[in-house]
This record gives sequence, C-alpha cells and structure tokens, in this order.
Amino acid sequence: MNHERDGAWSRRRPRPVRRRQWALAILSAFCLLASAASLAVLHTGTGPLTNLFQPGQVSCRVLEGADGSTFDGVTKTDVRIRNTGNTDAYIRAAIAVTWVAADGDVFAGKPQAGVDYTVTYSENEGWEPGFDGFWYYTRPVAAGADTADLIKSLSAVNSPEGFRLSVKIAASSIQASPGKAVIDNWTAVESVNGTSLVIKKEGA
Amino acid sequence: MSLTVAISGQGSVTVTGLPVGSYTVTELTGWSWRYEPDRASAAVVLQPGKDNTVTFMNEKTNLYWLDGDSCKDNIFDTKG
Repeated sequence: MNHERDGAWSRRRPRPVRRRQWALAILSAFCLLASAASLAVLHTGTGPLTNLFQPGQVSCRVLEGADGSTFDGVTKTDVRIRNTGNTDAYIRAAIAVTWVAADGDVFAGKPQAGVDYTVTYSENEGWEPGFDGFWYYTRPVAAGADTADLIKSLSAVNSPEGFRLSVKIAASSIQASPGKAVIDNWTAVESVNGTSLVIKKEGA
Repeated sequence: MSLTVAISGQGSVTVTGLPVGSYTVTELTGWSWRYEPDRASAAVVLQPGKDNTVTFMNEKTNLYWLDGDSCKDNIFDTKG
C-alpha cells in the first residue's frame, strides 16, 4: 500500500516549489523594509516623552484656633481637620474627654458636658454624629482644604483635685473615590449620595 | 459607668480610681478598621490593692485603600 502511494506521489507533476519560495522571500523582504521604514518615521517623528506619576497620599491634621493663634490653656476654639494629602478625602473625628493626672494616668470618673466643661458643636455645617460615637464630615474635602469647624468652643469648668481636663481629638481620613472605600470601612457610613455621606445615626 | 480612652499606636493608658468590681474592656474596632484585634473584649475583676493589665494585640489585615490619621491631646486649665 505504501509502495503504491509512493508510486502515485511520484507520478504527480512536480510543484513549482522554487518559484513559490522566491515569491515568499521577496514578500518577506518587502514587509521587513516596510516595517523598518515605519519605525524610522515613528522614531524621527516623535520626541522623547517623560511620564511622571505622583502616588496618591491621604493624610490629615487636627487644627485649632485661628491660623497662627496659640491655645491659652482654658478655651479651645475652631477645632477643624485639614486634608494634608494630595487627593480628595472623607474625614471623621473621635473625641475622648477624660480627667488626667500630671503623670498621664486617667481618672475613672467621666467629665460631664455642661457641668465639668462647656462645649459648643457646629450645627448644619456638614458634621454629623454616627451611631458608633464618631463624628463624620459628610462632604469630601479637597487636598489642602479644611472641614468646617467641628467644635466652635470648649472650656473646662471644674476638675477634681490633682486632675485636669483632657480632650483628645483623633482624626481619620480616607480616599473619597471610589465610594466603596468609605462605605466598606467606616462603620457608620450607610451609602454615598452623590458625593455626600449618608450616616447611620444612633437609634436608627 | 462607661469610659472611653484613646490610645495611639503601641501606646497604653492607666486608669486609676476605679471601684472594686467587674469590668469589661472593649476595643472599638470601628475606628482602626485596618486592624483585627486578637479578641473582642476582656473581662477584668478588680480586687483591692491589685493592679490588672489588659493587652490587645492588633494585626494589620486590611491593606486596601489610602487613609491617614492624626491625633491631638489638649490639657485644659479651669477658668479662674
């Protein structure tokens, strides 16, 4: 069988292999020349480009008083948070009020607002208390910008012997886009409406 | 009674003047969302003349998204 097949094969007319090989070689050479010419045009027609990428940075700082003012030890005013990063961010704050001794120990008693200290929070300026006890600034803050005041004024009134009022203000910022970042990680954020945070309130 | 204190980084705080009794110390995980504490809370029974220590170990588990923190402590004098 194989012999017959070989015989049939040998009876066929020989193909013009050499001509086709030449045609293929000429076509390949033409393509190479064409691509070389294209590369040359691209190379000479485009100047060098340097792409600089700046990594995103999210950070914040607690500010108090008017710019340049110093704390007089009695009354704290205009407490706000600055977005010190290079991209829009959402900001929230936690306030811990305690009595502290000179060595930093915290007294077990809890200072009472309106009795041991007076505090005035800003109203309708974007800050909302969440069910978790933290304050949320519902609008995104541009890089370098400040939130509205969280605390307008805070003063100590009474303190137990050997202790002074301590007000610790912690601030936290997170990238504003995409909204999934803040929804997934800040517990009191229910959703983002446009660019405003919808906050879960206590008892809601 | 309920008292909230703030601790930054690997810091600690000592609370004095607590009456003898049973207490529960809880870490507010909603703030430090990148970290997972080794336990949700710790029960402590205070006895006279004996100090108690509660330690929470936190492991960084959330590596996504960009965020930043800042903290300021203000010590006040009383008016007058």
